[in-house]
Amino acid sequence: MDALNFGVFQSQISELPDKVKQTYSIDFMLGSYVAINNGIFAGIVINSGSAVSSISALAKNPGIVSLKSAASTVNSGYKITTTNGAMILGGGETGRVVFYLNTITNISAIIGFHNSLDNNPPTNGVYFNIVNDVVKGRTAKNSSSSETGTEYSLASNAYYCFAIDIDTSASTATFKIYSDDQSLLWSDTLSTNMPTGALGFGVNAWTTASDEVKYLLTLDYMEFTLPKVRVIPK
Amino acid sequence: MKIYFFDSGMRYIGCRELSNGEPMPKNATTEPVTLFDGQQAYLYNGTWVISDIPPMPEASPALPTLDERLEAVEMAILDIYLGGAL
Repeated sequence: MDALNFGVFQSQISELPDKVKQTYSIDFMLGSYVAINNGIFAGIVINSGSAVSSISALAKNPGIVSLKSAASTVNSGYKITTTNGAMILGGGETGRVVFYLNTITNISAIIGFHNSLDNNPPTNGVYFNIVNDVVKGRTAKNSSSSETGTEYSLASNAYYCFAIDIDTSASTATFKIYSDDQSLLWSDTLSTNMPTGALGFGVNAWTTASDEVKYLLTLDYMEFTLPKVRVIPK
Repeated sequence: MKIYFFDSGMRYIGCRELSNGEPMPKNATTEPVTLFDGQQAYLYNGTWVISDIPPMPEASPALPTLDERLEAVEMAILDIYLGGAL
């Protein structure tokens, strides 16, 4: 690199924003579920459900937390999310959740950007909607919702990475499901009912039956990226 | 046409419809399989072999809180001070 080009290079570097995007994540490496509150994500009971943490021995999946239902309580479960109105989508956001289903019977879950406090559907969101083994992508704007035309059937006890990518104009959401070995299993998009209202990010899971306490869903990792957040000076 | 995916260990990891014009993914088969809760399947010589999922190991018990640990330390010190009376 000659001196002139080096000078241009230096100039370009100095013009880069100090921080162009912010990624928030959690890997569930704490030993107590009550400690799932890292200032970004908090664990909250849904109708008497619970959660239990385990420091996983798997090199690939360190730190997991299982969301559980309560005995004889339909719609009981657990959620680990940001505050439901913590952000709005400005374009370019991404979300990733690595997890597996402990059961594919009598379970519902919502995963992604949404504002649901419990087992009720979000009024604003871009999220995966799981009913038993079937998952679809969904958008919701002021309680009007759209659903992907295709779906994927999940297996229990298999790790997946659910991915949501919002385009730069916040007008299209792409939903993707990857296997544990990073193979793309399913993808679909939605461009209607893209939310403009406040929402959060995370996972709600609950049982749709009144039966014994059971493991619903086990989380390994969550992250979301907001590319339009403030720039922090050096 | 429905396709059934398997992972690098040939374990069943879900299914979906093949889209129009989409080439058959290398990690999928048209061989059907239906699983109930607690079952898993492995593809062996083009056929799914179904078995029960081994029971999940009990999760680690919750670690004591900081207050609980401090209380335990205080009790141990008190016990030493009292000559093992506690």
